Amino acid sequence: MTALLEVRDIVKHYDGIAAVSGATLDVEKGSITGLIGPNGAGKTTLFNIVSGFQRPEQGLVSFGGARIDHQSADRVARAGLVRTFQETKALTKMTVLDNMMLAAPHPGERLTSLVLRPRRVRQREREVEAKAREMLGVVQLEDHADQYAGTLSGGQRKLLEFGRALMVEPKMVLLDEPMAGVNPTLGLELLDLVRKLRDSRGTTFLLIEHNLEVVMGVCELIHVMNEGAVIASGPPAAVRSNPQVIDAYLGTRGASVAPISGEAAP
Amino acid sequence: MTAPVLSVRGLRAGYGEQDILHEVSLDVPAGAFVSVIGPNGAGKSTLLKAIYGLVAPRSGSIVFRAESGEHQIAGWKPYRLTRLGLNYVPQLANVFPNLTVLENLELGARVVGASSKRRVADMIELFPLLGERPRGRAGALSSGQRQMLALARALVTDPRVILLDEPSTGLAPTVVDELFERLAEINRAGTAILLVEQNARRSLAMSDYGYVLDMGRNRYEGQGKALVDDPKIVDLYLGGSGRLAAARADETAPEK
Amino acid sequence: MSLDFWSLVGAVSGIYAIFALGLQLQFGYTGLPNFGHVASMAVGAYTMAILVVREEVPLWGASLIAIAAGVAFGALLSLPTLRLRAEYFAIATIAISEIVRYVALNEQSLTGGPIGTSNLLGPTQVAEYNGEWASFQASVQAWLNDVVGQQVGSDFTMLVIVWVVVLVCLLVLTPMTHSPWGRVLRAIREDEEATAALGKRVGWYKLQSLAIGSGFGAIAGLLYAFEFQFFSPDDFDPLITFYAWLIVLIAGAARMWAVPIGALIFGLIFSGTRFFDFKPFTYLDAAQLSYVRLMIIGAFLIALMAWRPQGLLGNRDAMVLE
Repeated sequence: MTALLEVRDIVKHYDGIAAVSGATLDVEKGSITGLIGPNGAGKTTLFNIVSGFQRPEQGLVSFGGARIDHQSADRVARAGLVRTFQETKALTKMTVLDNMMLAAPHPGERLTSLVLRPRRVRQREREVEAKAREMLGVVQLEDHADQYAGTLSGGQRKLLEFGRALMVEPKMVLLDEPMAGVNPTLGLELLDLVRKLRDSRGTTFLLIEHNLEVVMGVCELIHVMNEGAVIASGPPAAVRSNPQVIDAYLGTRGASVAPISGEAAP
Repeated sequence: MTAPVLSVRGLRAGYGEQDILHEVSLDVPAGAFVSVIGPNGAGKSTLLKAIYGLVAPRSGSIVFRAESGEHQIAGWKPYRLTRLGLNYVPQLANVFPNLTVLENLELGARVVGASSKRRVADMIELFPLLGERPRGRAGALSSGQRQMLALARALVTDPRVILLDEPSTGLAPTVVDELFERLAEINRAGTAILLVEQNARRSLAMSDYGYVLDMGRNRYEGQGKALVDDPKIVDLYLGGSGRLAAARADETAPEK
Repeated sequence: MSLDFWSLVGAVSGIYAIFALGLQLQFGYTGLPNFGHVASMAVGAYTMAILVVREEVPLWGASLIAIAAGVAFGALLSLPTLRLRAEYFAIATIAISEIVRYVALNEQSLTGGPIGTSNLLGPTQVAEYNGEWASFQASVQAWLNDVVGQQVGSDFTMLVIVWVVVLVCLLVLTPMTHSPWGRVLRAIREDEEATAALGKRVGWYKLQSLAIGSGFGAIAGLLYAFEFQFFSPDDFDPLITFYAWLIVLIAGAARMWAVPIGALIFGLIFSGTRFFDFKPFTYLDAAQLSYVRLMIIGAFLIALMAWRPQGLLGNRDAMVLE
């Protein structure tokens, strides 16, 4: 059986440097999978390519059996693959409730429906509002529903963006550093949510995260990227003790440089 | 033992509402090679920026012992620090792409009002790569050459200390070798170096002393060689050190 | 001064209100800085005049076609400009509106050239398109006479007609902008990427916004044409777009009902020195006076941006202009 998301041999350059050079990985349906690696490994670039914000030069991405590698971001989202962003993109000039309601598919977003089917639109608006409030309860922002999103703290905005992504009722969510800039308690609550949602709705999650302790705790499978390629894939314990992974994070000594004290390098 | 050329005590700094650094301290002895390492988000870049005046420190002290005497430099503007003998090489955007190699170097010297010709010539000697096309546009250089130029530009003022922010980022391994050799030479010539690096092992292997930051705090420190193989550091980078539970306990949560 | 004077000020304010409503949809709601909005006014006015005078299309039919032409113009405007970032989009729209003005200026056979619509049938025959409108206006005037109980002037009649249209425009635009469709526009205004990441077709919404906004510009052009009975390309220079921007800034982002109020304030400032300064009246004024007026407007705008950037009637949290 094929995986829900298949990434094969993706290549992407910036200014002559290969940001991603032959990345390959799978994400199984209903899993919580991690994507880790040192800075500059190409993780966010890969996310951008998978979610349609950038085009790969080579390679393919397939989602649910269909190729999505050259589709635009909005098309990929409509296919059921949504993402969050490293710097949160909460819509600060709109209310928290509006942020949530925006995400749900809605005939009222088409002018033709507004004119020809006003009753259906009103009905759907009520449904969406109820769902939005429910989701706000899940992410513990229900008391802030009518506030402008700009008044929320960084961690609250992360929760909002997360809840908003789920309003789309996606098959899979790419989470880009969900814990960054968030205090640990809130971060762990977010991860509890991820688990709950996967258990109740079968939503698949792929997360980039630098806080490896967290990743090890919540992900069943972890892919490790370094210098643009996936160098290891496996369960947390295996990845953590993999010498290639350790080298990727801590670097290698380098044979040619003598230490200051004048001793010969090993 | 003489007093350190740079002393940081209890430094607190951040962006917006959040603090990134929570009371970080370190010392850079005169002529020493000191590394700062730590997992992502530890605040290493912020530390250098706070020392160099690009991020305003919120509390704590930074003492710099220049030729002219001891100065409390917390919150000083960058150009004052360069004039005093403390210079900084940022990770990105560290040369003027539309100026030539020579012009970049001359500009560096001019900041301190020094006579540029001799110092520029010294730099070209120290960095032969730059001497190949001195009148070429800096923007046309390869990334490795650009890092060399950025380093040379910081050195042209003959500083006592230079701060380097992840200079090996995006460079091919052989270029990284060359870069670190230059750093070693510079250090042997007497300039103290405070190096923030992703490549923890390599920088520690070259350092007299190393500081390990985690989530904005001092976590470990010690002689460079001793830290290189310390398993606690592997744990810190790859999870399993229980630091998250510790941080959460700091917060209040009474759960597991 | 007289009722006629203030009626004229009020009517022209109303025309600018409709014009600015279109821009409010494009910029205030969708974040598209259209600096060529005056072109939609020109497209509306010229389409109607050409159809009535040359093709002898009845006024109402010609007017509907003119509005459709405005909508089509807006849609066309979006095609080359959709991917441009804000500053470049603004420059492109100025360029396009100037192209429209230059076509009107030079295509004498199509538009009557620099002399204006009186030249539509050539130099020997003075062209008029206003015949049907004049009789419509007269019948409205007669009705008003009955309602009010005394003789009202034609200026007052025009005032009433224009503001009824303003009301209709508001009644159409307000529910549109409060709908889920409007919600998508506001999201695009703030962050296109985030909106696309939620599956919305951002380009299509931008096109709709430009097209519909230009439709309102065309309506303003029609009323302008009816008010002044003839016009020329000079009536549609970039300064007019600037007036619409002023009104939108006074009103504040994303507030439809505030736009007519902003237009009235604008009209009052302009006529505050007791001289007309709307474009067609500059023939009557010393050049200096119009400069003084601009200085006053400029100073007002600076003060507004310094102390109340969300506009006189806007909401700080929903403020767009940063």
